[in-house]
Amino acid sequence: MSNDPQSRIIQVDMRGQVCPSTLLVAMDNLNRHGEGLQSGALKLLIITDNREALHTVPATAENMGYAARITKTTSHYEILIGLPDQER
Amino acid sequence: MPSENLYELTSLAILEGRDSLPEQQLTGETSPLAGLINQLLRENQTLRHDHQRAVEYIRAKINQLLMVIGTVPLRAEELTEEHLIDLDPLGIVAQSFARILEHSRETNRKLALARDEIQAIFQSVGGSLLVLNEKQRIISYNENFRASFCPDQEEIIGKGCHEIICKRDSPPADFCILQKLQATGRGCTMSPWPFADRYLRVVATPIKDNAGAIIQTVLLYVDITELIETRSALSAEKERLATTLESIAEGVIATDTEGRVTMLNRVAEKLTGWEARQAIGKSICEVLQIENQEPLGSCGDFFQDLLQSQIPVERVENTNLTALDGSALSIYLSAAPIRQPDQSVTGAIIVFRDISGEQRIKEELAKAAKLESIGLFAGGIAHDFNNLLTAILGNVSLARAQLSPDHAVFQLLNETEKSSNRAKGLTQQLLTFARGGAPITSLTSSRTLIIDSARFPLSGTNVRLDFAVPDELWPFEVDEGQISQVLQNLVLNASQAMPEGGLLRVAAANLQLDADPGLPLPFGRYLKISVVDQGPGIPAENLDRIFEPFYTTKSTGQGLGLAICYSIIKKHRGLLTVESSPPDGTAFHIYLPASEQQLEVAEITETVEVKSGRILVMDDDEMILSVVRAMLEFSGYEVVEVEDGETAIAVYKKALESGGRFDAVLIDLTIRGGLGGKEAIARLRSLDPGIRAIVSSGYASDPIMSDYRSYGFCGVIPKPYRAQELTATISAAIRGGRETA
Repeated sequence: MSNDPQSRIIQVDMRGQVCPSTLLVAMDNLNRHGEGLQSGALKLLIITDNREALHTVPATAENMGYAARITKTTSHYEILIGLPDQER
Repeated sequence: MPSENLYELTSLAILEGRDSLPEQQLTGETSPLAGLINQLLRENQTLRHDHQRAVEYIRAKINQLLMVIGTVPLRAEELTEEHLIDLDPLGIVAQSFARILEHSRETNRKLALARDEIQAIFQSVGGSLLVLNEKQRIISYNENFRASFCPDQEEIIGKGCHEIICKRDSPPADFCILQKLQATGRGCTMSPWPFADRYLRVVATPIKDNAGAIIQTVLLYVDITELIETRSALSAEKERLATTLESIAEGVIATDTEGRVTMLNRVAEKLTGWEARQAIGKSICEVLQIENQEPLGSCGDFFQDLLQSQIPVERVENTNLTALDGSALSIYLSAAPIRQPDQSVTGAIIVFRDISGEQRIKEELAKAAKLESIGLFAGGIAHDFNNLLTAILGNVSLARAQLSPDHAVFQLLNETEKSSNRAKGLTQQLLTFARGGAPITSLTSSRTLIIDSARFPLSGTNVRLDFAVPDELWPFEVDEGQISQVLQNLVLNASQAMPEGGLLRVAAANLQLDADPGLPLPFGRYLKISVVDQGPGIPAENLDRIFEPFYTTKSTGQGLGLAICYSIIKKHRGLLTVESSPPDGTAFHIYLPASEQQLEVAEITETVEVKSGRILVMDDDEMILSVVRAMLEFSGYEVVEVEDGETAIAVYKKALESGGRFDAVLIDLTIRGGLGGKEAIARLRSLDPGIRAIVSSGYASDPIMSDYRSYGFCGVIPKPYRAQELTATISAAIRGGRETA
């Protein structure tokens, strides 16, 4: 998944949050922005400090036909979700 | 107050999670109310319990769905009861499922399309395809495979490729691509793979599972026979072309359209001085530095014109090529654009040849032609001049013979004869120059010839002559005129080398060659004659070339003198050499075979032994006829004159028939407009095989003069001659005839 400057990035910051589940919030956002994500107009950036989400969020995104890329910073993780390269 | 008590008890029961009030409350006046409360408490507990189950059910279902998606279950703290309803997790998951299903359908559609694509490729690819399972059994093949390898085979699926292609029960131990594939675990190629009378390229590609084990193998067979054959033919053609280019005598350079050199052959390397590896990529004008006034112009112009006009240029001469080392060559040049079959021009080819040598030969031929015409002219003059001299010398010698030596005129006639003899020498030179003919040799006193010849050209110069010529020098058999000319030439050259005067040494010695002296001469007796000057000498680089014709360092020279000398000495089976060490002068050495014969001391020409006989004289020059008649009659002969061959034959035949045979016949070789000496003697000999005939001519170089015997003559006398020489020759001929008769 490339950093396409054409795509708008929607940021969802879930640091310090246990409830509700990061996965469910991520899924909710993926559903809500489904159209934008599928057309390539949008990307979703999930900011979290929940290590578990690093597995569950990308797995779910891939099932839905998206690609996810994880970036680690000193204090948190960023999961960038969008269309896979070959479908753009 | 009982109601207040009931309220507190009920609150406590709710708080403690009990489903009934204490037993004592069910009695008394509050018992109906307590009963109702108990019922409500029980219902409340049931409701709580049901709620709990519903929440757990929802959680479990959410987790189940998450597990289906492939993630992990939620922990309880991740989803509170409150969020359970507010967040609508089931809704979220359901919606996600909708997207997942949609994605899955899309993927299925793409897979179906991809499968169709693969099937189309599988069938239409320009080669035979096989797919093998992990046991290397065929699970799929394309039509091309069946047509190429097993058109009649019904069962293909389930067989091993070795059964169908290699026609054997087990895979071959070597040369099997599957073994290579198993060994490396990577895709591999075998090419060219000989199969029957064809060549194949075989490509094996593994398909692996997630653990990296090979579960299928795709084999591709492509027939590359044509490619291999074309490549081999192309390589042979290239080789042939390269050999041709290397073996032709012309320089060949190819360029691209920008004029950059792409190829040059060995001759081009030699002529331009550029090595191919240096020249390739350079501009043609840098490598081929040519100059030509017309019609090419400068290299750049010429080349641009060639590529623009695309008209070939053929054999342009008078072009100068400057090689890398600065040396200049004369070349001819042809050039043409290189065309592709579609007529597009991809560059140019330039062919050139070194014609410096040819040019030199051309110039020399022109010189030689010029000299030949001068020679013919000189020969003609010499012939007439010899006739005139014959008359002068004959008459002078006759006149002198009628006088006593103390007569006042006798000395004058002697002087006249001397001058005439010098004139005779001059015509000899002229003739040698004209033809350089075969020498007419006679036994000669070497000493006299050397001294007379060396003195002659030095009159009027301040060069001092020093002779070292011993009296006992052996005689030689030479053409006096020619050897005299050689000596005069050498002496003249030597004196010209000393314009300020100096000492010129002429030395001669007898030389017995019987051990190898390093001279290219057979062993035997020789005369060595040396002409040594004190001039500046000849530089070593010129020394090798001075005997070449037309080689000269003098501005007015023809370059012929030494060449003629060399040729004359060669024809006498001798040798002419030169040595020089500047600035100490030059020495020329002549080696000539000495004669075994002894020189007769007395001049035989002064004695007339036979003074009777009938002589037939044939000459077309009336003046010659008259002087010859006078000389012969003076000696006592009877003379009959004829002016041409036909008359001579008629007269000789008539005389023969009447019994009055001629004792000798003197025949002039060249008769203007009539039958000449050569034809006349042939016919006279058929009339009279014993004829005594003497040939005479002013053309001393005519081959008949030096080889007169094989033409049927028994004597020869070159013009001009004196009375004594003539009578001696005639009497020798008659004497020879009488001796053999």
